[in-house]
Amino acid sequence: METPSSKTGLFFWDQGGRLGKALDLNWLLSKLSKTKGISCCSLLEDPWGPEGLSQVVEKVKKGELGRLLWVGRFSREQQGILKEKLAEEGLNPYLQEWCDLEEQGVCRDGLEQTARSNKALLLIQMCLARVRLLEPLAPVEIPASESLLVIGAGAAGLHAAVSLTNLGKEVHLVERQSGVGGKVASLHRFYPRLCDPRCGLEFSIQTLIDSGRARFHTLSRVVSLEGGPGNFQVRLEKRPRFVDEARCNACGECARVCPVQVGVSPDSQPQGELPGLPAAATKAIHPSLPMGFPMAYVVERQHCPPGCRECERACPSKAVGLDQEPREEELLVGAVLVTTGWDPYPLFKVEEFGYGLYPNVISNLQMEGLLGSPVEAPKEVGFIQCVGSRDERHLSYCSTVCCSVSLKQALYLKQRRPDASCYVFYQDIRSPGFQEELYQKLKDMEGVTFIRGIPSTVRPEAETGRLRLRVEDTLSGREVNLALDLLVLAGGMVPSQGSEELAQVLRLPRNSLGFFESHLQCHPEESQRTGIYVGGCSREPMGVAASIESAQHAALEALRFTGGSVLIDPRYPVVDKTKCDKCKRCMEECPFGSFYFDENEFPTPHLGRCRQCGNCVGICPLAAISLRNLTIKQMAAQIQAASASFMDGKEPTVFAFLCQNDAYHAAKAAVEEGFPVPPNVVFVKVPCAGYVNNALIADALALGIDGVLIGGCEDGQCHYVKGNQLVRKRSDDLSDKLQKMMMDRDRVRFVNLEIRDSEKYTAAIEQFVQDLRAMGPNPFKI
Amino acid sequence: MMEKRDGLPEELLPAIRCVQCGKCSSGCPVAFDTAHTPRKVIRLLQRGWLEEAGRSPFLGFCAQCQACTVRCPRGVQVSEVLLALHRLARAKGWVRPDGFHRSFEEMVRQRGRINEFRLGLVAQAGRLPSHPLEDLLLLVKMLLRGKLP
Amino acid sequence: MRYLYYPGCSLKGTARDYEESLLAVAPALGVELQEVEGWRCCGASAARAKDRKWALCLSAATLARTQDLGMEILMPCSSCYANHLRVLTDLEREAGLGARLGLARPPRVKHLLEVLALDLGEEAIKERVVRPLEGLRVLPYYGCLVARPFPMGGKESLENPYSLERLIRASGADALFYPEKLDCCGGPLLFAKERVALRLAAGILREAQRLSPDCIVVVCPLCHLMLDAKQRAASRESRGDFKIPVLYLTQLLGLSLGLTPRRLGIHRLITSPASLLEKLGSVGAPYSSES
Repeated sequence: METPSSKTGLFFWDQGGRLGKALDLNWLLSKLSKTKGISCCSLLEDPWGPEGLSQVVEKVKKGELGRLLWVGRFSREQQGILKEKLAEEGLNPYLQEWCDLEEQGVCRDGLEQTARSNKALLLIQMCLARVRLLEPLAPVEIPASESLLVIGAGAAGLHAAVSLTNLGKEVHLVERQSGVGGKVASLHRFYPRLCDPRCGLEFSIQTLIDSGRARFHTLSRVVSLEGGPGNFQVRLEKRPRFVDEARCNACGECARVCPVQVGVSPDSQPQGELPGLPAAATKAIHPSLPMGFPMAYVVERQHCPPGCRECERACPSKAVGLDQEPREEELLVGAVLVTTGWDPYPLFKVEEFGYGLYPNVISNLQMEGLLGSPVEAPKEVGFIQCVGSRDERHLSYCSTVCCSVSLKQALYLKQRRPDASCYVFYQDIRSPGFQEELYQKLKDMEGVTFIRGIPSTVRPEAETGRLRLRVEDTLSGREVNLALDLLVLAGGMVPSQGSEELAQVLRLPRNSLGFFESHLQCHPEESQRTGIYVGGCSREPMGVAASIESAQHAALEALRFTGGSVLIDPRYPVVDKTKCDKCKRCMEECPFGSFYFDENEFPTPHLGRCRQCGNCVGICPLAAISLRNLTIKQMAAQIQAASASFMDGKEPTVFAFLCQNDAYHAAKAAVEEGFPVPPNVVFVKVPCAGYVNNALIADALALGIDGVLIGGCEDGQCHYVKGNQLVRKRSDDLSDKLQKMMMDRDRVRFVNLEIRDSEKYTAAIEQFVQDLRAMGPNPFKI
Repeated sequence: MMEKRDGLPEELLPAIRCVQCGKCSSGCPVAFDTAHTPRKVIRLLQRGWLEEAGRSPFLGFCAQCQACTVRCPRGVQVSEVLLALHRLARAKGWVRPDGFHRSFEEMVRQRGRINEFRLGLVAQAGRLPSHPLEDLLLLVKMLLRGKLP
Repeated sequence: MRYLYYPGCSLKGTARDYEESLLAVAPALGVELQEVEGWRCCGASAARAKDRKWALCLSAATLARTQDLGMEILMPCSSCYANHLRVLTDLEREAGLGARLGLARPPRVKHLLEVLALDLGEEAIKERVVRPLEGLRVLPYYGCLVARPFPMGGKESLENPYSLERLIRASGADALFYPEKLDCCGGPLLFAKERVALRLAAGILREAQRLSPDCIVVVCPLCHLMLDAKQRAASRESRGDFKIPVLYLTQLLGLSLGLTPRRLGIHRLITSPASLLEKLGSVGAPYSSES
């Protein structure tokens, strides 16, 4: 893009005459019109009238003005209109700047008119300093594939894939197991309709097949992921099935001749010998699990006796190939959905209930298997809730589904066997929304007893094997003793087994509980790696319906990185390679893992991955990184302009960097709501507190500004993960720097501000100004 | 008497974390020997009803078997809290130490070690054992087998 | 292997058979014991019920006395073990407590069961067994304090420990599955609430009786007192009729190591071990009453 003209136009709009009342506008205009580089300086009467902007448009059209500064109160919508209108005349939208004197408080603070005018002049000069250095920018287009990768073909993954193929996208579904369906395939029924979950899964599978746009990669895992959003290069490792998917039609001849009986334990099958329940077993060659899709059988080769090729011989379609090798496949996708789901918490760790010790103590997932099997349902059944959940020795959280699962299982048990007695031991029944109906239904049912109290031990009766339970009914304080045929432990969810490895491959941060991290309120499905979305139980425990919803939401978000190309906002960071010493701090600290090494091993931000928060700018010890529309140079020029004293010589001046998401709004509201914000402060907006480089702070102090304030979010609320914490982390380095300058450490202050903290902002500035007065003027003050 | 939760002595503060799930009582060998279960005593503490908790008949039944402590999902060391409450109750005079405790204390302070036989005799003094015949027989057997000094 | 040996009050009194068997078995297993000089009572359960500081000081006294020897302390009594370990965990949690108690280098404390099962190990014991107690049905009983709240220094399960079973098997005997193995024997309540205490002991004995064991094995003098000496009273209290020999672990191991019942103090048991000795005699091992 050619270097634009440096001729600057400066236009005032004094809506309602508020500026004119507070300031000496004529003085300002005459003063500014004499400033170097200003080609035009005037007051607009009504920019929104039919001819209001004609003067500006005319000059821009003729090329008399190369950049513009608007002074006055322009709403965000009005700024958009101006950008659009002038873009038609060939002015790059990034060559305009807005200076809102009112939000800085000049019309309200207690200064005299002259002093106000001086402060206004300084604020405008700060903006001008920046305007002089503005550069024209244009969005960058990066290619984006039409395909997406869905990791984990359970209910969440399948439904997301359906949504995506419906929209014409290609979807690669990667599944670790031999068949799709995940945990839901092993459920007997699910609430609220108590229908067979396989029905919904079959429906999805059929839709995917009909679309012709879905590819299933079973027995596969992702081993590497390179590139970025729009253009991820994925490498899959595919374990051999030993059966040709194209040839096998699941006739079962192979299994008939297979000599090996192996115990499989898809999660639903009760382990051990439950009275009356046949031990779950299958042949070494068997249909896909947990669901028979893909239709082809699979061989568990590790169980094959040496030299045995019975299945190969028996197969009428020549589908068995016992010599298949693992292979790799490369895919190109625009975005990645992680729907890796959950695993049951290992209940043998909750030792007091004898899980794994007594065959008739089973997990809720095993209960699904039992209810789905033809064996006679047991008569006296206990359900213990929150086993290992909400327990600081196990899982600190609530898995949200276990209450309704037990309710559903009790109901089904009663339907199967009306004379059954169910006892539900709980501390709180959590049945939100419509699930409450299920609870009330069960409460009213004969033979279903809810006991508010959790047992501590389970003892088998030596003679019968029945289980003796003793529990306090905490509502009455009485002892309850029961003998049960079966005890079902309502265990919770943990992230699925493969998620740790996947986290490493995708460089995906996980929270302390092992779930994939995201901004749970605002962007629940957006992981901390752009282009990778996390849905369903891989990010938080949830029920089937919620996890499908979550995965579909993830799919919606992921769409933006497909469709041929993506436009990247041009305000991305650039590294000044003449300054960079390759220390890699940016690489390590970037909250989104955006940086990679370019061919000369310089860290380079990946445009697709980057979220333009500017934390790299702040991190760089050499201040070698700039956001393209908020460069270190531009910021330094503003600081320089601000260093001219605008207060009475004795009064301290404060330069504030405010996070534009929270702190800035608090500051603006403080003025609007009439809080007595001291006039001593001027502020600039930054995309995140983490943008503020120590060099900028040192600059401000070296130029004689008395104090620097950084306003960031409350801890844990930063939209860019931890920008505010990074600033504080760097404060040790800063202290060293200040010490060398013989500067008081207290001249730099950090404040946590929420968006409505205008009162807190005011108080913080008041306190700061007061403390600065006590410290005396900055020794560097001229 | 109403006291604020924050008025609890530090050793009893962990009671606040309790969620009243009842696991402590469910596994307690003596939970239902009195009108109060351990959970209930903790509840009294949570509400700040310190004296009622301190006078709870349950305290005298706790054998410090630690079963409650190791099973608490909130990590409350229930037996420690109950013991601390017992100490407080003794200090406040809500309960009086029995003969066993008094002579134990005396013996340890004087000799540094315990003579179980003598301790047993003192503790038993002045009240009839539940099974005098069995105890007499035991005494004879212990003497014969050299278990007594 | 060398350990400092802290007997505790019981082993010098009513549980002298525990000490006798321990002192006989230790050398046979290559374990050298050196009794702590001037050891003090740990405070049992009574001191803690009176004054926490006093209780801490009592246990800390012995620890402080031995801290310069650089040796681990072996404790055969579960109550002594738990009390001393509590001091050590309090030291970790409460800064400055070590200085106040004069404990700069607190020594490690181990229960006898921990030493035998983990330090020595079942294999080492198996190698030395000369009279495997084949066919003997042994019921392992842990009691509370060896497993709770410090399950052998955190190396054992809180709810399903298995060390005792492994040692019983090392002796050649069968360890029965006994779900009540961690139930409270009632010991601490014996003086204050005798009937409750006897009821608890009876509960353990009743469940034991169903499994028709040849003996119960314990690792705590108080458990032993309740199950052995108080067995008759417990029978009477619960209208039961218990006649189950209760041995210390060291007595059982001693038998398998070829030591005579007398050296192991088995003749001091209150509940007659005759049935047990008879059964052992019948497997062909010569058991004389004198060594």
